[in-house]
Parts: sequence; structure tokens; C-alpha cells
Amino acid sequence: MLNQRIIELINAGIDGELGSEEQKELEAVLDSSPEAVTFRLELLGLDNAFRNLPELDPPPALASTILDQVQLPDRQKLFKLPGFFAGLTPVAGGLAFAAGLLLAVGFYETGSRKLTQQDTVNMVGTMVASDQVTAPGQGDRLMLDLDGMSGTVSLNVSKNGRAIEFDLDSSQLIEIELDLEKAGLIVIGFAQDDRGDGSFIDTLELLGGTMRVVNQGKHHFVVFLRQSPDSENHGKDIRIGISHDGERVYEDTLGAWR
Amino acid sequence: MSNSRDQALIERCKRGDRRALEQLLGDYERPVYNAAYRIVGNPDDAADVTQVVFLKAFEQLDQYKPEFKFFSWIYRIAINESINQIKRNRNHVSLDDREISNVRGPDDFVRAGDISRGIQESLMGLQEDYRTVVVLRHFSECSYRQISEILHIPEKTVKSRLYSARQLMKQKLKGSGIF
Repeated sequence: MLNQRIIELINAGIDGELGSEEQKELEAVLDSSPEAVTFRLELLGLDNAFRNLPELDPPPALASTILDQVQLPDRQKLFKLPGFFAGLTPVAGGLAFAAGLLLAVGFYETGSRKLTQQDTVNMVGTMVASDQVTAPGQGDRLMLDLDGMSGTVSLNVSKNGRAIEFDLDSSQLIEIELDLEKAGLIVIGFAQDDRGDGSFIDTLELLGGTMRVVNQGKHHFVVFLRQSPDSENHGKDIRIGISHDGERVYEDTLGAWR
Repeated sequence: MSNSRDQALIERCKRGDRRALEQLLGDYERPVYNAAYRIVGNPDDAADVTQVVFLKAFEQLDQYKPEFKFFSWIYRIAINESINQIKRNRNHVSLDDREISNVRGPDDFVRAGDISRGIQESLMGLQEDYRTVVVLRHFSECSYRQISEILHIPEKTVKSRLYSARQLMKQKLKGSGIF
């Protein structure tokens, strides 16, 4: 008759839940007790029987039935491109950044408050003075060479603001997230290079201090930022993450040169 | 199915991203359906349970706490819904029906050559709290700790239920000639 300790050791051994000392203890028991060996073989047989059972396929229509019934909250986008541009008058000069490059330009002022979902939904656009944007340079430049995507993400820093310049070429839909809140930054503008083919990035959202860009194809655009006066995170690096198909494929930080 | 991937998908779902919802469903539909099937014992009920599990989970995403693993959370819903389904079925099964199902002779499994069915039926013969630990351990491949988190019971209880359930199944399968 096997005692409780031996029964526990054998069961836990089958389940892969033994520490090294317990494993040694189990081996010693198995070396000395044919009854323990038989008991273990029976449990292994049961374990194998479970393993050999086929995995079942859910009914083919089940997923779509579920998806049809799920109500998700409405997407809260900062703006949807290119609809965003349709309502804007292009800025007539004065924006120093990458002169001649950015033809389709929209800027808005968010005020000094920290951005919230509600703020972004109700945001009203205003122009940003050229001295609030920035000249190129003084920040990190990330060279991206990922599966299905290449390009650069550059941080340009000046006394009055920052700009992140994206030059991307992605064959698949990618999502870029920038943690602006932890860097004490708020968005004040966006501009995209008009390549003449009428294509724009898919989505730019601001939610909970995180900016999310969805892009597929070849696009060149700039997001203008400025320090939030309410934040204590001034000067901190900006965390950037790139995902494809829900899987994070790249993470890094963008910082100013010091 | 990494927890960080799950968290990222959940955040996107909360923002209304339907593609993220499809990905979460794609990751968990099959394991939830299989766990439900092993507990409720028939494919139609398993499909109903799976549907309810995901609808509840997606409706309650705001209540999901990121400090817990998403799979533990959704499995917990799946186990509870499976047990609810069994209870609903029980209310609809007459005593005669139950007696008929219980008189299946040991040799029936062998005659049918259906080991899979024999194991499923011996599983169904276990009481529900034993059955759920067996399903989580052997079909969903959860560790003692994960089972403990999913069922909100101490690991000691997980072990005790699992060991007892195995003994009972072993005896049943031996008696039926499968083992």
C-alpha cells in the first residue's frame, strides 16, 4: 500500500511539478518499490490517453456569430485621414520645419491641459506659430529594418518644441505607439508629405497620453509636440513600440541629445 | 499567447478596435471550446458556452484587471459557464434519461472501439469540481498554480482533487476494459 507522500510525488512527477530534491526522492522510491512503479505506469497511461484525444474544431460559424454580437465602444480617433485634411485650409508658409516637404498640413493647439480622450474628441484646430515648431536635428534617429517594414523615425528638438518625423515604407499594416504622457508631451500639430498619390496614413489617435499611428505603404509625416506645462516628466525619453498583427515587433526610445 | 500580447489586444478592444477583438477571439476560441466540450460533454453545448463566454468577456473588458492573466480570467468564465450549462441540462434531463445513460456497460466502449468516447464518458462520470481540474490540467495544460488562480482554490486543493479524480478515472477505465 503506497503512502500519501509517494502518491503525491508520483502525481506531481507526471505533472512536471517536482523540484530537483523531490525528483531525487521520487527516483529513490521508484528504485525500491515495484508497487510505486506500477502505480506510476498506470498514471502515465492515463496521461497518454488524454494526450491522444483529438482536439476538436469549433463550429466554423461560431467566431462570426460571436463577432456579430459583440458591441465595442466607438473608436475615438483624433482624426481620420484624409477626412481630417478635407476640412482644413493649408497653411500658407511660415512653418519652418522641412520647408517645401510638407504640403498637406494641419495644426491644432490643445492648450496646456493634459490630453484626455474627451479632449481629443472635442479638439478645435488652430494654427501653431512657426517658432513653436522646430528645426531638424538634436535627437535620436531610429533606423528600422523589420520584417515587412523599413524606414526611419527621428526626433527633432528645439527650445520650444519637438517634432517626430516618420519616413516609413511598410508592406503590411503596422501600428506605432508613442507614450507621450510619460515624456510630458502633448501634440500640437501634424503634417504629411503629399506624394501626389492622394494616400495618407490610415489612423492617428490620441488616447490616454498615448499616440497611435496606423500605417501601411510609403508615407512621410511629422507629428509636432510640445512640453505640457502640467507635467513633471519634462525631458524624458519617448517610448516607441511598433506592432504588427497584435504582436509587438519593435521597442525603443527616442531621446534628445544631451 | 503571451500576456503582453493579450494586454495590448485588450487595450485596443477597449478603444473599439475590432481587429484586436478578432485576434483575441482567434487566440482563445479553440482552447475555450475544447475545455467547455470536455466539461459539458457535447459539441452543441460547448459551442453555446463558448459564445456566452466571449460575449461576457468582451462586455466586461472594463472589469478585467491587467494584473491577472487574461487566459486565467477567460478560463474562469468558461468553467463557470460550463457548470451553469450542466445545471441547465440537468434540469431538463429526466430521471429515466439519467438511468439510461448510466447503464452503459463497460464493454460498450471496447465494442465501439471508441477510446476517446470512453475517456470522455468517464470524465463525465466525475463530479464537476473533479472534472474541471482534470480538464484544466490535461486538456488546457495548466499548471497547479494556474488552476489555483482560475478556480480560486488553494494549490493543495487542486492537487487533492486532481489525484482523487485520476484514481476514480483509472478505476472506471479499468472496469470498462479500456485501461
